[in-house]
Amino acid sequence: MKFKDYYEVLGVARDAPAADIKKAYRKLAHKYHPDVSSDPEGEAKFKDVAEAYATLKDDEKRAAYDQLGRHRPGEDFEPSRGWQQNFGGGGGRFEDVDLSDLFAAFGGGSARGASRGRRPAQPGQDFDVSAPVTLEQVYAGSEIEINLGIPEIGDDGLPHRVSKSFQIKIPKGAQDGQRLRLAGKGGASRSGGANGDLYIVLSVQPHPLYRVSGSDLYLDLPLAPWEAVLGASVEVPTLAGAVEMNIPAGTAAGRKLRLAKRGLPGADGKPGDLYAIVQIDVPASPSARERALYEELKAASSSDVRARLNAVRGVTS
Amino acid sequence: MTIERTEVVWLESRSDYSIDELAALSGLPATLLAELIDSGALPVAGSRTVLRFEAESVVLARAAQRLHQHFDLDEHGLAVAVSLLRRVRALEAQVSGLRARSTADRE
Repeated sequence: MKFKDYYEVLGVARDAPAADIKKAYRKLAHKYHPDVSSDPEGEAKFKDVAEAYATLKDDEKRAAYDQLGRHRPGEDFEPSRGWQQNFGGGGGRFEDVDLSDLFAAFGGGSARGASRGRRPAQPGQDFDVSAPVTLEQVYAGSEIEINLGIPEIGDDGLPHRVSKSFQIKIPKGAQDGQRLRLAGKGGASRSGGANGDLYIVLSVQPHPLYRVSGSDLYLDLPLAPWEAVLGASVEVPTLAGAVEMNIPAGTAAGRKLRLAKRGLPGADGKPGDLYAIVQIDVPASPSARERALYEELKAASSSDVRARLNAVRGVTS
Repeated sequence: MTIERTEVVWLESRSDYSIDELAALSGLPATLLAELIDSGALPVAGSRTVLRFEAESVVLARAAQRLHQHFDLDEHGLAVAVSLLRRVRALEAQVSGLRARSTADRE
């Protein structure tokens, strides 16, 4: 079992009074709670903070934790025989036990804390798991495998993580944040209640080309200046393969060109669209010949691209 | 390792959750749930006589349960927090849509 220094996690002294522990927890919870914080690492940090507080706020659990002694964070250790006799787990296998599971189980099941009186049956723990999926998987629909360890009380009375694997069908057009509920697939109840649920939250990974809005896709389409002025036929990548798109002459930067039904499948069966947003790229280092042609164009051109800007400012060009 | 094949239910595939389902899925006590509904923090899809809820309310109610558990919020504080959370999520969705429609930042 790997040691975690709950006092260090909360930033309090080992002899800190309960009020200080609560204050430290609240400060960190405000900072890292996943429903409140914008810190991308917040969820993982809050998990550690909540785990530490869940043990240290309870006098009985805190006493049991303190009696584990001091170890380096991450150090492998096993509770002493005296601890096991006092708090449970005698003769059990501790090597694959997580400290958080041990203290979460404390007070239920075979742990000595059960002597605190009968409590109503509590359901098992719900688990929320993020499942990263690619846009291609969402477009085509796919099957992914989720592997996770769920604590179950073993024959030795200790909570051991059991590896479970779930095959999940991703429907076509599934959206970022969409949730899948697997009833009864969460943690087992330690007091005879129902199993918890497992929630899988889809996390559509950013795509190097496309941005998603509902079932529509947006793509930046670079054009050369002459393609924008003269019009062109260019190849545009879509999730179903490249298509030829006609660029009308006189296409300005920022114009959105729609490729109907080339977006994601919609939940209502109607496919979204793909929008190509025109960007006009200029040559980074024009050759002497190109520069000469641009100079010639400059001399020949009568266009006043800043006419509106100057009109608003009251400047005549 | 155990491999299980499970028929799955997408929360978003339904928009007719009953109040009993909302309570069971969120784990919120009935008094807190009633306060969240009465205050308008949790949107109601059906009529006031036959309460029905969309998946958004299930997700919000689960967040409310976490906030209640982790911050010891009372029913009034929780109603304010959930209302604000709902606004933040709506604004985040708007920002995400606007970002998608604008050209990406380029060096």
